[in-house]
Amino acid sequence: MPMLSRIQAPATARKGEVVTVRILIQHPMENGFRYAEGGTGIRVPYNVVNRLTCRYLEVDVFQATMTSGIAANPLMQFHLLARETGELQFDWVDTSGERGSARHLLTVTA
Amino acid sequence: MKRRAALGTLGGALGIVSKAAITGAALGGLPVRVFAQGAPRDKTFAIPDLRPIREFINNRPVQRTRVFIDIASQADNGNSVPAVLNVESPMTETDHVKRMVLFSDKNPYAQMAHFTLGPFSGKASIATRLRLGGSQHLTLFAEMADNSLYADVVEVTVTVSACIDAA
Repeated sequence: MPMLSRIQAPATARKGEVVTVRILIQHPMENGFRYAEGGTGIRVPYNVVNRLTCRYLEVDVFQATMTSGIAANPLMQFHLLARETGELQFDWVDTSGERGSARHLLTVTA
Repeated sequence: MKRRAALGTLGGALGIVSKAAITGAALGGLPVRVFAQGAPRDKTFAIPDLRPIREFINNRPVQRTRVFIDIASQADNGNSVPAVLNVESPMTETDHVKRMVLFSDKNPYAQMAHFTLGPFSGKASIATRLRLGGSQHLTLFAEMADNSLYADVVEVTVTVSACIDAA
């Protein structure tokens, strides 16, 4: 089951403009302290999205390493300089090994 | 009255004249405070003496300027606390933020997040939602292109802590 996500970034930008990019990933970010349902006393194991990368024009424009200190359904907002038309390629992986990806086309006008 | 005075001193420090003048561009990309009751800026908190922080600093001098954690002074729910992590930087090839590292002095894991930026970022400002396991001090380090370190420490009061099972 792929990890759902939502990217909010402008569709177009002028060259040299600083654009705000936001990504929201659906993930419980289990901190390892929560008890599983059913009253068994067993804790749900630690599982967080620990690496998130955004690649734009062959450059990793944003890299985030997270721990359980980031809230569930991690939201990351960052900025990047619009240079040329290209795709923002987001890739992330969680501690259980599950991968997710999403992309967003940014059209840059002169 | 107290809030207006606080906003006034902050405004003075950041060079904000009036609300209308807040564009962000004039301040070198530093966004205005987004939280109504932001974390107190009238006290200077010492950088917590924790091993992960000491290892990160690695005996380098740390300047307490240019970095600004914008977060509410009191969080109702520690499970999701919005925060904006800002660093005043022109983000040019020679003068930019290489990485931003956020530490907690209460959470099970001291290093909460580590971000890698560069001149391609345009602006050193990251917004996210944090999980706080209790009232604590948050430390944000910004490492510049020339390896110099800048930091900010804020105190956040958390009403209902995260990571504590309510059951």
